[in-house]
Amino acid sequence: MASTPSSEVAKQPAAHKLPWSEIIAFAAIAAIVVAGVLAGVLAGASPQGILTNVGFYASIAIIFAILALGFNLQWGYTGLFNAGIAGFYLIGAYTMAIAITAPSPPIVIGGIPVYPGHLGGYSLPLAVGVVLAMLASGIAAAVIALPALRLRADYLAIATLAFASILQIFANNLQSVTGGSIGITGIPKPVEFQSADAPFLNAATIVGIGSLVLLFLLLLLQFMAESPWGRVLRAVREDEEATMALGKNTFNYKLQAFALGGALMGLAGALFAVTLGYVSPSSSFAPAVTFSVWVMVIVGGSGNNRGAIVGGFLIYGLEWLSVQLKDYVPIALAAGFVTIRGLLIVVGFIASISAVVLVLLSRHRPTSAWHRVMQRIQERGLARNGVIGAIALYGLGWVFVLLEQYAPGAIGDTIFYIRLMFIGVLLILLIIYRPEGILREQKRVLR
Amino acid sequence: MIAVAVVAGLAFVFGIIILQYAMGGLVVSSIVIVAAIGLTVLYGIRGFANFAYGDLMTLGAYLALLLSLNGLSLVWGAIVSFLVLAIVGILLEVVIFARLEGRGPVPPIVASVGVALIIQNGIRAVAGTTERIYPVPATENVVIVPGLGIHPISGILTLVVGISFVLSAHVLLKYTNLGKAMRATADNLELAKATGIDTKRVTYAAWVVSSSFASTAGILLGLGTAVKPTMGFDVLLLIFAAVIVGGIGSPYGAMLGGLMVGLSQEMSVPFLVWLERPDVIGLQFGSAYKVAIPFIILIIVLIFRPWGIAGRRPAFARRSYFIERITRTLAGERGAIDTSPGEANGGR
Repeated sequence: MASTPSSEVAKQPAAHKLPWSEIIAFAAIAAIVVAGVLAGVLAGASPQGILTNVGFYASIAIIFAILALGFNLQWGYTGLFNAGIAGFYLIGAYTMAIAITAPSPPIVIGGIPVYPGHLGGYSLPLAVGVVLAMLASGIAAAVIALPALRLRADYLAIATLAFASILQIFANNLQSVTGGSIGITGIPKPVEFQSADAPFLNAATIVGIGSLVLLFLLLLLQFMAESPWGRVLRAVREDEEATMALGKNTFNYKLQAFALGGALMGLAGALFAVTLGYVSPSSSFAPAVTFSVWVMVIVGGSGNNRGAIVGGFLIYGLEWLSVQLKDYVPIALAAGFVTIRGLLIVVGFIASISAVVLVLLSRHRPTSAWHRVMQRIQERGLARNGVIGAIALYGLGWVFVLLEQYAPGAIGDTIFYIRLMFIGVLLILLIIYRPEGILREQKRVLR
Repeated sequence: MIAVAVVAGLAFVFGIIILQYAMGGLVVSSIVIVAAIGLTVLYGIRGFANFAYGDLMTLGAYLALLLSLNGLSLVWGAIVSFLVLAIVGILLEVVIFARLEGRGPVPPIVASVGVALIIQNGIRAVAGTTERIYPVPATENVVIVPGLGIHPISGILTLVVGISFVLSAHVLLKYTNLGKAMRATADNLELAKATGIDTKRVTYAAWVVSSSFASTAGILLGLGTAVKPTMGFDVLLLIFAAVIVGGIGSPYGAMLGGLMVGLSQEMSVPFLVWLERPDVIGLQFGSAYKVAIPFIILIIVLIFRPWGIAGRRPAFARRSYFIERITRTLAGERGAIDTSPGEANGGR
């Protein structure tokens, strides 16, 4: 696949340069946490409440990092594009929930079924649940990959996307197994605390376990990537025909990588079930989860395990922050709303007009001194991007106007939609301008 | 003749109700076919699966809604939306997808998901998440025979528009120079360039056809049910299934695939309702699973004929892992019993 950067570009050795990419990435994560904590302080939350909240961020970010590691193994290393990450995640979460929860019979109040019950009630130990979740997701990944692996990348993408949607329908409707739209509740925690600060202690335990799992996975995946097995995966990604010609059964390698990635996603699902204490077929397993994981791997740098983890913490951080800020932004906006909107429209309009005029001037007066300045700008593609950016600003202003016109009360929810739009913009910009991500894949040379 | 006989036979065996489901299937098919032609034309020429296609449909539906709520009739709304979507298609190519040419199938897929997220959530932010319906006069079903009716707008109109779009796509592809150039480019880009076809122009034409068909399909979909932000993304898989079943990149395959997928989805409903009965397996919400039927067909086609039902078999098509194992086992077993094992692998 030509989609990932090849390692042929040999730059001069940069041994003594600071690792700016890493510094920027960690500074961004730190900034997100600080902003979230500040929002909590402004809301007047207790220190322990804020810490619990940060712990929640860390535990979900760890889960997303594991999802990203799984996808990185499939796509970053092997070039297999999975569009159904949410499906394997769902299988893991539900398997875990069914395996470890105590029996929960159907509830009927006054002849009306309130809760349909669900399969399971086996009360198995947590570790067994995790193993079962990984097995279930891994086997599902292998089965779905069997018909699609020999075909082009698009077929695998479509088949996995369809698989994930179907699974969500089943989770919603197959009540006797999944508990229907309510889902499965009462999933036991790793340790049941009884004291008043149980939420904090729970968050701390989950973060502790999650960090250990993540560290272990990182070391394991680094080792596997450096092993001959990992080398074959990268060879499959770069040129499958050549790898076949060298006598490797590429189909088997692809199947192994895809199933292993699926198993990692199942592990993430199992951790998710334990972290939340319940699973339901709601937005937790929506296609948006899949797209978020893509962004994480692309931002972090596909083919780089550390990058996948950084991407997970960064992109989930944005989501977490948008939830933290949701309560404050409308208040702040209500005061400055008209001003912001007006500024966006005026500035956007002037910028659009001037950018268009600049481009026209540069085209029609080729001899002027101005032209030379413009040529500099044009060489860097600044003019065109300037026009696009200015028009975007202008459009954003009008979005706010329309918003006030048609849905005045919806500004709080709008933050979520704007976040998802932002993820979309990020996907497009990254895939066009920086497909290698923040942390590039390490260059490997023959020794 | 055969069709009439099949219809009469079905009605005789299962009752007139099966024809009602078949009618529903035909209506769904005509929407899916319009969308599938648009998706597959773009795939043939640009070589990537456009995951934003469902949301282009939603965008078209909302544009028509916006215009029809502001005084224009829905017909004019549909025409304006058709034209606007054509421009949106060209803009998408110029601003985003032209930069990703020659980087394999995955980067454009990622970018198209980005476009999908922007359109879907932009619509949510601007128009809200409530379901809307088009301001069309409320009408009763037209009764053909007792027990078999069709709605004049969401039924007859959809069928007529669907058929006219199929015919116009056929005329465009078969009888115009542009259509011939499009088919040539889809067949072999390098060869088309070498024979002097302006492939850039063909690419833009493909975007225009693709996204304007999306607009009309979206409006038809909105007429049938309601207009909501996820309407397009929800049917995307159905359209992908139609495209793949018919053979990816082939407009005529898309027509066949759309028919198969739409009919099978709707006609599976009585079967799924039958499964709901306690003496069968007591399935809950059986008809919710109807969307899984196209997916099952998709998987079967991927296993047995990945180049599609109507598609041409590639010269060096590798057989799927499954088939290879199955034929080997079968051939081995048959070899022991039958005296002519040579036939087992010979069929094309």
